[in-house]
Amino acid sequence: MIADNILQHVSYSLIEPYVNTALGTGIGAGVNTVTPTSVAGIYVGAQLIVGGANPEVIVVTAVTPTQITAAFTNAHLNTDPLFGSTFPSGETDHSLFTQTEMLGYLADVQNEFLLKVRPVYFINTVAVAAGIRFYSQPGDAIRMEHVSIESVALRNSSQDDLDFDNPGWPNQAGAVTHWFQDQINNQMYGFKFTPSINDAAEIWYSQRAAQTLGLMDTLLVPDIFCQAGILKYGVLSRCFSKDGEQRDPYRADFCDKMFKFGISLAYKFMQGVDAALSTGLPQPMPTAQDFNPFAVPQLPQGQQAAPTPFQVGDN
Amino acid sequence: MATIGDIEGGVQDRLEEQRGPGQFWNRQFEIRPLLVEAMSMATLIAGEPEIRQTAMTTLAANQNVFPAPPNAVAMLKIEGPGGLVIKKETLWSLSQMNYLWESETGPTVKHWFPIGLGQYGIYPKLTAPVQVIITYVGLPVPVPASPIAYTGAETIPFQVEYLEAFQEYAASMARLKEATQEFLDGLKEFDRFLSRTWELSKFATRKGSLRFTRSKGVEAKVTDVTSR
Repeated sequence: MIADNILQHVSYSLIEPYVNTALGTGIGAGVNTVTPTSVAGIYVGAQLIVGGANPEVIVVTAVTPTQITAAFTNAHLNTDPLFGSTFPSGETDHSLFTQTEMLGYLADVQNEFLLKVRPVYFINTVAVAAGIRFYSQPGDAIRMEHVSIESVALRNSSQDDLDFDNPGWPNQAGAVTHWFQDQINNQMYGFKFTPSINDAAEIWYSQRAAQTLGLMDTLLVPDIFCQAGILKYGVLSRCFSKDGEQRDPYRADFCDKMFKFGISLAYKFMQGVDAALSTGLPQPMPTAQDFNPFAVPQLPQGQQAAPTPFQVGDN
Repeated sequence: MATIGDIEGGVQDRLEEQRGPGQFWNRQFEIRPLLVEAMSMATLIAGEPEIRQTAMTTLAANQNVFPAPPNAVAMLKIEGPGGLVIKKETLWSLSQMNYLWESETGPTVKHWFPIGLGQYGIYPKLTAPVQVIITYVGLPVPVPASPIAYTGAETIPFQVEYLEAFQEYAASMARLKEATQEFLDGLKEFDRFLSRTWELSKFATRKGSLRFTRSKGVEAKVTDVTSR
């Protein structure tokens, strides 16, 4: 799924219009003015996705009651879909939510999910240089799980264990047998022994997503978790928590609980199907006591909940 | 099997909406995605639907790692030619047993192991392609093209006892945008969804209950068949 798919559902929960129309005008690449079926929800500065054979994200530079103008990288047919979560309420001078803000929330939520569940792994080949013992772990690595050189799996150890076994090992070069990550700089790893020849290592690790997202960026979180709404509730929790007109501590609390519930389910699912790459270390797991969907915050003393239509006017 | 279109009316009934395109809740863009959301939650709780491939998958030679089948959520089993059982392992245990496993080759697959949810590995590397049958937990509804717009014709790959639970979930979560007391009043429906899917997750005991704990599904233990 792409980022806009999640924000589409967030839009409906926030009662924000979602742009879903057609381009209306066949165009070539370049700056073009088109006549979409509807311009509702579109404002200057809004990012939109143009679908079709060559989908792209455009930024609207001008809007009239019937037309919009933007720079297009690709040619498009008049029937190509034009869509996106624009969060137009209050735009452009007093927005409730901005697209950049919402994409930022989604990026944060995605990475929080990936950190806690670790459902996605990547195998990266990195160069190993003769005489160099320490290396930086891949930039998108959450946690390294497995390292091999020349298809030989290296043992995961610690410098303490290696020191105990052979105090002279740091000065020895040869075929690498172990890897470690303790007592060295942040996000680095090291080898025992110091490599004596140039080579390549395969690093298997749980993968982190990018810190920023575009509307059309594919999410790293597997589709099942996106479709289960887990990321949606994480984003909504942030939306209802922020200061401003849309703040709602009750819904923020519920959405936060739903997000954590989803993470808990996802983690348990991963453990249940043995999908997590395990090095035998214990993993913390939320319990039912950490979540009760009915434990919404109590109203302050003396404050009543807003009357429902059923209550108002009852005799 | 039922379709989303068969149960979306029940959600609208619970929201006091006339059956049809919807007024306060758009049937296509709000109700249907919530039903898919409910199904996906049920997949994580109960581990359904399990799908055994009807067409064989070819494992190429000279590689250890393969992508999971399309729309597979989690791999459960790989059967070799002639129904040969291929033992499931973990990467860690394979490396502990034999640190040279990545370089070894052979004509048949002896072990397989999941690598997260999207990939799996085999041992040893094959010397020639081999065809296998994979069983997996499937995505209940494939992701449509963007923007997300379910048609209502999507099949619900769950037994009929799940259907009301899905309606309860969708109706409860739809009320999130109402806020305040009206939303709180709908949480009872969410409770009924959890209760029903917990009950139905017990059916997984015959298939393998090692997956779920009591707190979010049935207790993790060996199957009744195994314990006998």
